[in-house]
Amino acid sequence: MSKINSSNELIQNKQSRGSLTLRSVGFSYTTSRQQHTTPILEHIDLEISDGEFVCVLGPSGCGKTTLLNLVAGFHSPTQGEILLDGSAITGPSANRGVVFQGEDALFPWLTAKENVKFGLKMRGHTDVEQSEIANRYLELVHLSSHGEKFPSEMSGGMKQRVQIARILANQPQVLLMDEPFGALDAQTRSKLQTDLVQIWMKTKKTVLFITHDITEAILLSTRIVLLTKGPGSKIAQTIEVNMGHPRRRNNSRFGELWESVNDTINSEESRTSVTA
Amino acid sequence: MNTPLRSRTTRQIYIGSIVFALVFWHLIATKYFEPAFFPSPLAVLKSGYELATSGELIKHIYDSLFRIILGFLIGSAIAIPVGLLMGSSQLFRAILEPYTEFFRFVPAIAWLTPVVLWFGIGEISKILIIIYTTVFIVLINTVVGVSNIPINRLRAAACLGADRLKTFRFVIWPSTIPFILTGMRLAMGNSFATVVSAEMIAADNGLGFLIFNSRLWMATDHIFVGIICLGVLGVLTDRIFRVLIWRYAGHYGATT
Repeated sequence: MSKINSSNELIQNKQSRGSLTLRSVGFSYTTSRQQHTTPILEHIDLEISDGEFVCVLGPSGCGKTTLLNLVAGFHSPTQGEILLDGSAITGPSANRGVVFQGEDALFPWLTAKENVKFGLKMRGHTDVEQSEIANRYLELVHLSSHGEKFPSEMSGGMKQRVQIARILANQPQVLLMDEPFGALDAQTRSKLQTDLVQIWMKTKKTVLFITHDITEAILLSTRIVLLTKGPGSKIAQTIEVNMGHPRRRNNSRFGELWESVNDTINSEESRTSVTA
Repeated sequence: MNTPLRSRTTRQIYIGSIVFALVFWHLIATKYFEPAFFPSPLAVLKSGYELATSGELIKHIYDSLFRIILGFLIGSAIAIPVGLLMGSSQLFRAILEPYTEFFRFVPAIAWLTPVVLWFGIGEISKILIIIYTTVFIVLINTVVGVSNIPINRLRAAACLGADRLKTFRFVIWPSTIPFILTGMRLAMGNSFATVVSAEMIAADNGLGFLIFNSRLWMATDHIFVGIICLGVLGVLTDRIFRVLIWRYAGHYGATT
């Protein structure tokens, strides 16, 4: 019993949560050859409070991943600023962990457990601590018995679980997820979605989740941020998802929400195709 | 995962194929050709045995292998760190790339005369030639290895708290190992080719010398002994390399 308590304490570390503020964030890149500036994102104003699960939803090419890369610190915004708990983000850091869509983000020469230990090792934890914490997080993602496997020996779903455990073990303030289940088959995806919600409820982590799947956004999030079609995407609408967990797709509220989000996306599509 | 140990059937086919080739060679050689023109496998075996028991063959093999292995190891030891630096630093790459791009098209053997002029006819010249041939192959593979690291892997390291130095040690270096090993395997093959050319032109020992010198008295059987030794040694060193890669670097993504 005491073991469960201590692991919950560890997993729900209050210190390791954070709020994000995006203030009129814009991002554009200039190609060196043409001297031509292409806007990707414009005037993004967004406030994500501690413990929220926000899904960013939009058509492909709308700059969703760019938005995540800006928050992660992989790129710097060309306009505006991004704050984590009030202080400006200057680059990638362990306080913002990213779960990538591709499995190439894992270290193939390390076992699942060694992958989970990686961040702890970087941050100077002792071997005993690394092992203990890694075991807890492998358990959290239901991979306790697969710790000694190498990525090449794991399925796509298992690899994404390792990525989630690896980031959470590092106690980031914000969890950033870039279409993490986009490459998985429907069944595995559904299972991971359910598990992610449970993990989120256990850890109370702030999550920014990128997806192009309406159903996924409604299943997971507390709020959906809808982006307009690019170039120069803006926030089209933010939608509160006031539903408890677990959420069922056959629920009438779910269906209404799905239709309304879908309508918004379609009207976006027709608006941009007229101008295009 | 492919193991270097082949299945029993494959090995049997292997042996069958070799036996067939030897029989075919024997029939053609004895039926249609003079021994001095095209010696039979038995004649080659006999000469090989004589050369081996006299100690001459072992000496030539030792001399050639010594040059190959020493040059190969020194060349790799130079190429790996320089390649890692070139791969991870734009500045280093910009400084050195003109030379690597230029010299990799100049075969080592083209340098033989100037090298012998500058460093003499001794071992140093031949080892330098092997170093040269190894350096560019291993270097280019190492650079390619660094630039082929998936961007997400480096980003993952950064958001897990790895600084530049730790990223280099714990991510860039292990990610590059398979490319380095592939480069080393290729370089080993080239070292064999180069040592033979070098020994033909500027040596009085080694398998290249044996092969080239035997032309003077039409000792075609000796030439064949030299050729077979090169092939067998090449296959053996490559096998050892494959086993080492499989044993120690399988999980780095190296293929054997």
